[in-house]
Amino acid sequence: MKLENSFILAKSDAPAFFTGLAREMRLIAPKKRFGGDVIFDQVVSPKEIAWNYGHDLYPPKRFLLPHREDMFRYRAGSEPAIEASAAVPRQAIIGIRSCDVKAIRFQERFFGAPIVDPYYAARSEGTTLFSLVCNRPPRKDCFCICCDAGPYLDSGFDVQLTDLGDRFLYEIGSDKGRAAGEAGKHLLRTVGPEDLAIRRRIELAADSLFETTAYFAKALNFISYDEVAEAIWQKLGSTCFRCGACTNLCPVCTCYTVDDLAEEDGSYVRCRSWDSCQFSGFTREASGHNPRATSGRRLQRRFYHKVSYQYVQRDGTHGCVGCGRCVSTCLTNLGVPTVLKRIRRSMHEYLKSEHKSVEVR
Amino acid sequence: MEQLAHVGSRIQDASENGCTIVVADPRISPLAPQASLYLRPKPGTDLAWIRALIRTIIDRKLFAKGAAEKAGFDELVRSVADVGLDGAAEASGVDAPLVERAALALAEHPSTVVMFGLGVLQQRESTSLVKALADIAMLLGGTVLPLRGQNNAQGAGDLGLLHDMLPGYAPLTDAGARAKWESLWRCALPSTAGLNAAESILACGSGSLKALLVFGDNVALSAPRTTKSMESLDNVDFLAVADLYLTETAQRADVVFPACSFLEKDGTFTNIEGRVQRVRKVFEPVGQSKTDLEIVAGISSALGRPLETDPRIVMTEIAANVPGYERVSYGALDEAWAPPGAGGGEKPRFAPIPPAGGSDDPEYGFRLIASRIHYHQETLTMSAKSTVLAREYPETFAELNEEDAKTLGVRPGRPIRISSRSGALVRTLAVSDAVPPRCVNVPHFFGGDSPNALASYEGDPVSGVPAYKACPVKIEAVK
Repeated sequence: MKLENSFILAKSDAPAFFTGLAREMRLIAPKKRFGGDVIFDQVVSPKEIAWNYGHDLYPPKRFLLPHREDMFRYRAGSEPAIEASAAVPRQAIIGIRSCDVKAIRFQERFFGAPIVDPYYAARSEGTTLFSLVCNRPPRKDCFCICCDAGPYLDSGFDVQLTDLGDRFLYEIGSDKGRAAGEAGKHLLRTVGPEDLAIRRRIELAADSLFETTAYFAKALNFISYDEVAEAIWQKLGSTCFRCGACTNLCPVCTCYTVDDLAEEDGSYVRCRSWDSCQFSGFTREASGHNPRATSGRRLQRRFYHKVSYQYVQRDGTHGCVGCGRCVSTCLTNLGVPTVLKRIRRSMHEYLKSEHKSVEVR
Repeated sequence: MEQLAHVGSRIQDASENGCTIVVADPRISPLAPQASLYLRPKPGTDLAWIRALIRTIIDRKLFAKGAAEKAGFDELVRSVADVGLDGAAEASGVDAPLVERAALALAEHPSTVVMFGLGVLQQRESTSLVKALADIAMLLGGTVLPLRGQNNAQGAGDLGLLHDMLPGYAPLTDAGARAKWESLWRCALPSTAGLNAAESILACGSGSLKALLVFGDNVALSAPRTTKSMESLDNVDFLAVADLYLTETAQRADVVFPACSFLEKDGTFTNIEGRVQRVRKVFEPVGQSKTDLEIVAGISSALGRPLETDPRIVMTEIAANVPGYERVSYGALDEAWAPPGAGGGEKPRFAPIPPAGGSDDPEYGFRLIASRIHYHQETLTMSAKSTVLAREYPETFAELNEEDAKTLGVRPGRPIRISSRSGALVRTLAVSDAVPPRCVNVPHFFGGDSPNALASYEGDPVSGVPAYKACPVKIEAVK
């Protein structure tokens, strides 16, 4: 971290600071619902922000890649016409976790090259991320440390906040972050040595508090060199319910499908919506042939894309940020760390066994 | 398994932890990898092998300690005295040694949970079947868990949404129970059962029913003999439908009430455990849509009897009057989930299980397996609106096993006609070794193309539920 980019924002000043920001853009932040559920949503007043929210299940990626997004509207026939959809709002996502910031940066690279996706670009250009460091693991399923995606980020954030009790440590990480703080600049104070000491303590404690045993390396090798026995993939896939929760709730997953939806007035809306490689129709070809016809094959596809070296090389990082949402939501133990562990264990058995038989537990 | 994922995942976990799982299904289902023993009875013959199982448990004295002292045990023993294990095997296709292994496996690993799905309830002998399954649970000192696909099917039954019962399962013919509700509701109640769902449709057709009010049910597609049911609905003098969508049923209506979804209203659902769960409004009803309660109350007011529209107050009335709901209130539900209601508990006595009637129809030599496809629910009113889900099934199909397809001279990818004494439909043939011999698997599909079209209105005489399953059919290639 750089000292000249670090400030202190007193918690008592935070409402005024973000009220100032709200004049320039809409604020998206964690809101508490009945029963303790937390969901990222637009807040009208900064008082609604649930700063101590833990972790949410429904990732904030949807404010950049909406669940369903209208791309344009068109009319065919004698007077064909195309109409662009409404401009996207400028927004600040406040309180987003480090893992989700890292995931959004992954998506920006995916949608940014080789062809720039204009819809994603427009939203991402207008978005400033105020991330909030996890002082301790918000959930038992978190394993960001294994994916180099938290709890602290050394780059990639616009502004990174650390809860220091009665104040936030306010670190600026980009020009966008700097610009977003201009209006409330007078509320940002100089950082003191004690503040930095606390930050250091939190960072050091993370290693002992967070799950660090997801231990990707060996499974990653097996997957990258295509050594995982077919029977293991099939066995793992045999319990899959094909619900798609793992990919839909994954903050990194980028897949979408495009539909033309008929409107009542005779026009059509071209709309894109989230899709999942775990659905059989995702890879079915026009001939009816499906290269990934079984759940096992589709699970294999998901893990190749998430952790194999080929993709790591292309994308610069693996396609998992350790947020643990697939672990929490999968009804049948097919979350990323669980599957990697099961692959590692069963591969050891498989390689040891004479007849190359395998039992997956 | 996948259809009720929250139950299915627990079965998977139980299997991982060494639980013995005995599955009975004509088709190889996704439960197969978890099964310790897989029985594949011929569709519609469940009572034969289940009676054999009961007989085996009794003969081999595999029942739990104390079971023989419970009321009705001797009647049960006598009622299955005629069971010949070989005869049962011949009728159902489940071999006697397999029945014996199932009995031993279940008895050796207490405690037993007996689960059954809708397939059991939609057969000719469904009432006997349910009693028999409950007897097995009772013999083995276990419990029964009926699995329902709809989130509030249990609640609807508990609250008397039945043609012959009052809330709390008091029969309408019970004068004492009637008097209680008459004084509470300040009205006179009929002393005999009304028409059940299937009879109502028939009565529309014959003209004896003049008006029909349908809530959230696409009966035009879900009732048996689709063509005849649609004619019946067209024939009724007045049809009113409350639904979220303009379904095939709503399109036939004289009046449609736009209903709102579960996200737009407050209320409760009673799940399959009998646990009452709260549902909360997260946004205001879209457009002019209203909650079911508001629609019912509105109609009642128009008829001169204003009703309460606040679900919280309705729940107070339920708690004060319906057995099993005594401890339920919105206040308590805000604190924690309610425990399963008192609807469970020990069954007072064994029921005798008489043998099944019926015989095969030589002209219609195949049995229908009416199934669901994974991504669609009921008549697909909601699920087919998702293009991603719809994409999973590019065309409708029916499945035969390879041998039967060869014998019939029909080829995969080509159309076949499946007909019963009640109706016919055409599907593209797919070959699957999950389907047993002399059976055809016909999943529910889009726009009225449903295996229900093949079913007749006849069914279980006690429950009145039409036999959608195991209907005799014949198969021909479409030239």
